[in-house]
Amino acid sequence: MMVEEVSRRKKARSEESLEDIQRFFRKGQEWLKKKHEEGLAGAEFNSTHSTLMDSIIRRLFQRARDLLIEPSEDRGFSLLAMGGYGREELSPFSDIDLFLLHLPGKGKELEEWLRAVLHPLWDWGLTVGYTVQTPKDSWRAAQKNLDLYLSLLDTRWVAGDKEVYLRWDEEFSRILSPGQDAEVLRQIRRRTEARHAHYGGSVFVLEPEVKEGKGGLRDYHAAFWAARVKHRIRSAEELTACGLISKREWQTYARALGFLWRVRNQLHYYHGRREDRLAFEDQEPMAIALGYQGENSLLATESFLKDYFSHTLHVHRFSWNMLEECSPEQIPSPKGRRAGAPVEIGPGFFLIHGKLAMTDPSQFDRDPFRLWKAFEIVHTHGVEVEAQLEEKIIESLEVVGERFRLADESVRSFLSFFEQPGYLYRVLEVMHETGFLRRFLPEFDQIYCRVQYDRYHIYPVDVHSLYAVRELESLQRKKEEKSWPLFRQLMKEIRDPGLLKLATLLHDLGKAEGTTHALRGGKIASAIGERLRLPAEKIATLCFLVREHLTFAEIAQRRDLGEEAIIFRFAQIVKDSERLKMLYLLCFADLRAVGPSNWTVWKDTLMRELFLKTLHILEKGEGLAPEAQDRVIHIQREVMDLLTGQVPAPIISRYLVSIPSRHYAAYNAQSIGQQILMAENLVEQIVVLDGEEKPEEGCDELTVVAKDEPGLFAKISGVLTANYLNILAAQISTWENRIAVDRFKVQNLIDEALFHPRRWTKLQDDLKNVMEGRVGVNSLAEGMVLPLFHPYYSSRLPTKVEVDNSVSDFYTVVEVYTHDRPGLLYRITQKIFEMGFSIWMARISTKVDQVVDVFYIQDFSGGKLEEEAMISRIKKELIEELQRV
Amino acid sequence: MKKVEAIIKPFKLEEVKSALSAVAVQGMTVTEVQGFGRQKGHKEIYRGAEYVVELVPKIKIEVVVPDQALTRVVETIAKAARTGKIGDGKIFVLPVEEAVRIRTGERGDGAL
Repeated sequence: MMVEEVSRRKKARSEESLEDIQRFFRKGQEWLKKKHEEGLAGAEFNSTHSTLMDSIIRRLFQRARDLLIEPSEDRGFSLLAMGGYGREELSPFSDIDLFLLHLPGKGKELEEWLRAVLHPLWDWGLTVGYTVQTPKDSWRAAQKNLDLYLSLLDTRWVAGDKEVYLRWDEEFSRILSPGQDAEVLRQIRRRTEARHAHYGGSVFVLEPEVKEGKGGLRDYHAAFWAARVKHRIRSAEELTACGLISKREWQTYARALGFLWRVRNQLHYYHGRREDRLAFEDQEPMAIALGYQGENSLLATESFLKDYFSHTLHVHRFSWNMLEECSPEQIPSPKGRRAGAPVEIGPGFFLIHGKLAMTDPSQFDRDPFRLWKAFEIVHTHGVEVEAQLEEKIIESLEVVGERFRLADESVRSFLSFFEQPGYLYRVLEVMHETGFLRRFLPEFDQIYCRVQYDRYHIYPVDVHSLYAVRELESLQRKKEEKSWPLFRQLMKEIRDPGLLKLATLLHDLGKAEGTTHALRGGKIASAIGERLRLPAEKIATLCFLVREHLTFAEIAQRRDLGEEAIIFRFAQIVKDSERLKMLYLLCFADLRAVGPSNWTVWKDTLMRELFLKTLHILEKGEGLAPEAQDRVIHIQREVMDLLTGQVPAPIISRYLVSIPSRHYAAYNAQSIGQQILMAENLVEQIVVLDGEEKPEEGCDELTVVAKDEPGLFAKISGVLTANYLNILAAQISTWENRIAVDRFKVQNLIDEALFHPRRWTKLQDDLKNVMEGRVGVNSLAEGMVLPLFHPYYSSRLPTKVEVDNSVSDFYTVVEVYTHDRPGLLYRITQKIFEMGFSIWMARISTKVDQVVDVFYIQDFSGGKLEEEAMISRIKKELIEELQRV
Repeated sequence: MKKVEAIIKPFKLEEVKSALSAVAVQGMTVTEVQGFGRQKGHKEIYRGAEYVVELVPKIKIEVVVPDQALTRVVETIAKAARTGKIGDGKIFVLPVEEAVRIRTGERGDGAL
């Protein structure tokens, strides 16, 4: 009875006390939040938060003892903080990891203790994890599991039997054998590298992870772990004492960490939960909440991100240096700095552990151009730069002004990085991270850490540009021989890969001012090209590449690559195959640098199609030579003059753009003007006919203009044959506005003159009737009486039909070799039509009595004839048709 | 409710998208896909090296619409995506049992 009574009373007291504890907890949280809003520094916040949690947990622990029936049970076990809580780095919604360490033989009652502590915490919405282990078990587990080992490394006593903890801790610091030590250090380093790769591989990513990302808090943890394993230190303050980092460096480091902690705290409050990713859409409200100001919120966001990146860069650099210093492969010197024999690598510089350092720290002060010497070594050997040298470069940036930029030595050195083989990306990275690049190319200052508001890029513009250069470099590297064979091949073929790399570095400079960046970028690139004193033609190429860098992907993905005119127009922009290859490579590097998975097979297929089709046109050079293009412009102007007054100017222009280049090559301005006038008459007439005697050539010339339709050519040639006209030559073309213009040279087979009004009218009527479908060509032809004794019937040359798909990406070319006879062209073209193909162009020529007819055909769906069966069928049927007498 | 799945030529996406929004289609899912139908793949050759394109790049558009809007949506897509050449693509219509707007819990046509 008595015992029950006591326990009931105890319970009642405890429950009141639980409410008290909760009230205390809530008050503490509110107070912390208020302090944070007032600007409490990150590190202070985190340790205060940990202290608050400590006292909450101690009170809960106390209460648990009161709840237990039998008192004085808290001997032989101890409640410890692990992980971030152990390090006293609690952000508002950090997980709280607890470790109940107990001596063997404790069992069921521990559960009750634990429950009394954990349940209230869970009820209040905290994320609490816990483990229960004996010292022996925990050591054994830690030796097997690195994660567990590392979180135990951060362990700190919170409540319970402190003796148990102290004895455990002493033993724990001894559990690793020297061999295991080294392995742990190696593992920490390996994991850090893997983690960086997983989070974008760069400090500069568009949505950084405050904790896990490169330069994030985890980098510091890793370095600190390594330092503790290596130097047996316990607190961060000891880092300077053991010589891993100088006092001045530690100040910068600590400031950077404080910044990250504060950002993380704000992130947690902003989301109301644990969230460590600085998501794109949250960056603006985060910047404002952290007190950043600017003319507009965009500028505030940018200055926040610049700070963010500069701090993460520090965290990354210091952490990585410490990790390397602790690396088991190094032997510690008395000072803690790594020893090892330095290797001289040019006057004033030496290599130490693969990193570039310098003998005389004042050499940049005496001769600022020595900076180039350092960069040249990085370029030639691909080495990293030692921290002190890096600092020196940063300190020397003031001298990089107008005079430095324009000096011959600067221009020569900078360009040599692009032109000479070496480690271009490496040297650009050093220049970028030290801020040198922004001083030397002030245009880069505009895009420094500029985020791209399109949800598509994961790196800021400047980093993206460097990565694009790296993509090109890796195409030249032997190691990756297997991947991207086409791009590797093109990289070998182009004459000036250095210029392409420069263009790639500069390709996004126009992004400093928002939209239409490519055009502005072209101008900026030209200006830089002039400053670097490049020859005019190189500047033109540079400007072209930057200006058009989006065009390639745009056309490949948004235009109909099956339309010859589209490819043709693109070819006109690109002008030659060298520039095409460079643009294609730039497009590849640009998209890959957005994220390697961004260049999908899907995109690859479309881009290659555009590349090859354009290349074929450029290599054939049809109508693309500058002279040919001048000629086109000249003819267009003449036609405009000729027709002014007869046809409204906008209509003439519409015709002029729809006429293909190859048509301009075949006709003069008079003829084209005449054809346009004829086409204008198509409104009232279904077909317009014009003709001219050519006595000097012994034939007549006919021009037929009609709306294009399937079988049109066959119909016209049928009508001509039925009117006793033998077709000696024909030039047919189809304009983009679907008007067919056919010109025939015909031989009159009867005595009556072609241009006799009676005969001319009959020809016109026949054409009209056939076109309107009132009379079939066959019935017209059947009615004709062939003149006997015609000389052409005497010879018999072998008939041959060739089908060639390699000539054009858009048409299948059919060549027919046979002996001439009246009606031949009609029979061929009618057969082609019956088989379901349309003729887009034709060149008909007759030499004595040998005919070579070339037809550019497509099937009615607008494609080439790819199937072998179809190709043999067309050959077979044409030959059969021609062998029929 | 019906789901309309259209396989179209990549460069037709913009046209189809704006044609659909003109007939008040609120949302769609767009995927870059590869495949073949009557338009088989082909071989490309550069300096003797062959690049075989077995699967042709296409765009897949998925829209779920109320029954009464189906005809209009299908016609709109067919009209906008047509070039008359081979490889213009196909449109499939599938029945849809239910739609839920996750944020509000609305169901059926109201969730579209």
